[in-house]
Amino acid sequence: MGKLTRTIAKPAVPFGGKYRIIDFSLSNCSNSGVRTIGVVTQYQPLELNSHIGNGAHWGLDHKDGGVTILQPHSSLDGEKWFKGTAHAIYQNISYIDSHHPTYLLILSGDHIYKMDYEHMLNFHKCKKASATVAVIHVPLDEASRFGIMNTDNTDRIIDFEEKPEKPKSNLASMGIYIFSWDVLRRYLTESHATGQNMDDFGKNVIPTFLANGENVFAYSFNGYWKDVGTIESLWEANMAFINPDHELSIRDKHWRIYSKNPVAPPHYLSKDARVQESLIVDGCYISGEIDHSIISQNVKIGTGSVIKDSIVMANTVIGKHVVIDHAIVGEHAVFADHAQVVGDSSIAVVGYNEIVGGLNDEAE
Amino acid sequence: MMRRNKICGILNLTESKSAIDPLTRHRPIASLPFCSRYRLIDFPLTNLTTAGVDTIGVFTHDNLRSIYDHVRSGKEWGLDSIYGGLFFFSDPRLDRRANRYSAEGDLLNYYNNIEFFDKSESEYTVVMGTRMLCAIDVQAILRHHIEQGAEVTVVYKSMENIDNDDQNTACLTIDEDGRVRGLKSSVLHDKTDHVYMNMEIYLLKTELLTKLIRNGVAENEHCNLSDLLHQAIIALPSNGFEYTGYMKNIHSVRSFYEANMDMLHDSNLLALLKGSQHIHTKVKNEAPTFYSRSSDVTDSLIANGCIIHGEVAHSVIFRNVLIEKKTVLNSSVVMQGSSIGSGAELHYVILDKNVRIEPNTKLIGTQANPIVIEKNSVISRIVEGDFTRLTNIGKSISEVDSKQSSKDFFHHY
Repeated sequence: MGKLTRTIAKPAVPFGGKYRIIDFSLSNCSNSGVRTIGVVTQYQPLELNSHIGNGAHWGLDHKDGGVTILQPHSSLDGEKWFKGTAHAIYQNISYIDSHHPTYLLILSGDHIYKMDYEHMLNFHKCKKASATVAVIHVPLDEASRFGIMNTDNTDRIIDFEEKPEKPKSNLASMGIYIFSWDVLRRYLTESHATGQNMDDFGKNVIPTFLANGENVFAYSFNGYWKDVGTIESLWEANMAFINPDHELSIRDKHWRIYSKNPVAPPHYLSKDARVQESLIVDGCYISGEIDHSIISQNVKIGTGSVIKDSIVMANTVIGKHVVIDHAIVGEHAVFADHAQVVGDSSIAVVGYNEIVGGLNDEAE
Repeated sequence: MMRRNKICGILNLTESKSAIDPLTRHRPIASLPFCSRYRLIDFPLTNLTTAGVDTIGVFTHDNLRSIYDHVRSGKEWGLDSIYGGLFFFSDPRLDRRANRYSAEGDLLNYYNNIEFFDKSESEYTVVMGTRMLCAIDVQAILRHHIEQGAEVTVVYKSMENIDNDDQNTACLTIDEDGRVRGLKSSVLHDKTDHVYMNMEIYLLKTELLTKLIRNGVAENEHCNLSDLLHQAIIALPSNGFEYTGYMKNIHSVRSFYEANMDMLHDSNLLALLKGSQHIHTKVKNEAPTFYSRSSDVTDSLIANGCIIHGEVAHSVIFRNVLIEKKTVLNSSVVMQGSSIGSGAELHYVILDKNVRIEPNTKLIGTQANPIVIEKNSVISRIVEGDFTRLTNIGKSISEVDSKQSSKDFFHHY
């Protein structure tokens, strides 16, 4: 994601005008009754930390539990830099133990979806599984991009292939796992002692579980699920999100997606504004023409500017007669009058705090 | 040094509201929704907390539910800390059906809870209400108070072209030294007079206030705190503090409507909401507002969570409003959760919360007399002033009705 993740962690990347990618996982946790959450992060954590705070915005500021940010740290045993997803869990065993869990739910912070993890946990319990992997049906021709599970008739996983050339099924891992904590804990600590590589869930842990005859099950998820790990997929997912009939049904009060909501006045559309097929959020001042775009909080757009098929993130200031088309504009960017950013099949990206155009430009 | 709570805040919610009926029929002025996402109580709460006032007493005769629902722990204003907080004092003599400025007076409520002032350990108390909409720097009032050596400081706004139909507003006579010399009701003024309108914001030593309350109750327990303070600024050496920012006296449907329309001017919006302080309010999780291909929205303030297919001009729209295709909405205020059916035409209308306007309904008010539709009403097919069926209609629409020729409508309560 280059420019957008240079200074902030991927889960903190804005989505849909007023959310960040991690809001979906955190809201799912809150709505599913998951009350103790550790957020493991090691790259560019500042934005993520300030976004999450004490978790109150997601109703996660419980008396016991709540959200804890788990960052690598130095200790007497040396530096605890996370070498992989499972390694990060190993490094935080003492945090997990302190909450005495029976089950551990592993999520990744870069997917857009609504899911009730309680259903998945019930499935895990019902199957008496050691591990459960959430899977989704993907088109067979795309299957080679994912970790593919092959299951028997009872949904038990019998084979796992990471990005197979010739996929045997179309059940793709969603990167969501439930483990019985005592089992996972034993594998992680023993492998550490014996020097066996257990750094990554997909590459190491699941194959080892299968090799050892642990019961690993695939939980099928039917619903909207989107990996927004690239600029193109982020743009596409946002553009699809504009449609009020989108499968994610963001306005459904029964499964809300919460976010940190800064207080801003309502947005104002001036006499010159023309807004079509777009999403607009609090705090904006719009005097230009907005067509099929998402405009986030506190964005100012001057008269005569045209924003088309684009995402403008929060606190950006756009002058007059600016043209933005097929673009993603990072937070706090500034556009001088007459500036132009036009993408095509490859989406143009303007970074955070970037200044586009200016006095030296020929403004014609 | 021991932490000292220098100023304690009093929100005096015993405010006359009958002229804002039906918007205030089931809520105090403090809970009136304003400018797409605020409530009037957000303004004094922000004024107080921005100045570091962390102990606030809310005194009311009115229904506390809507206020409590909005304010809760006061978290949004940083009032949920270990110091101070929000304290509610509702008068047990509250008569929900009376719904008017209490003849009993509110002074006894203050007297019965006078312990609050002692416990606050504050040196000064600032008293304000919610109907004088403003964004004021309370620390500046305190500095002025100390420099001028007054017993009581009262805040006023210098203005012309006042609404002299509001008998609950008083104007001050201020001499060259800024001393208060007199007080008279705004109804005694001509519309064109240049006046110093009393904004009913007072700052005085807490000790003096409690003394005034005790003495006041001994003399006449059916008195109001505001009357007591009016007497105090005449009897004691008192100074005026001139407020220069945006101000609106919300005392009638029209003034409420005008205040909302004022916010469509960027300068007013910035002065009130984003000037020397940013106004805080209860935060809601709403999706972004969606504008469809058929929408045409200009010169309007819109909150999050709306879906707009129709034409909107010069209007203020609250959260979760649905505006269907081929509607025309002009110069109107639409509160949260309302929906406007396709083909409807609304000019100069205030829709309270959760109103449903059925398709092809037509409501045409005037700038001076906007039509008010009460909370939770369903309105259908009013064509050219011919009211075929109306439910739960408030007083204002009957006023409009009385000016027009024969219509029939039904009340369903």
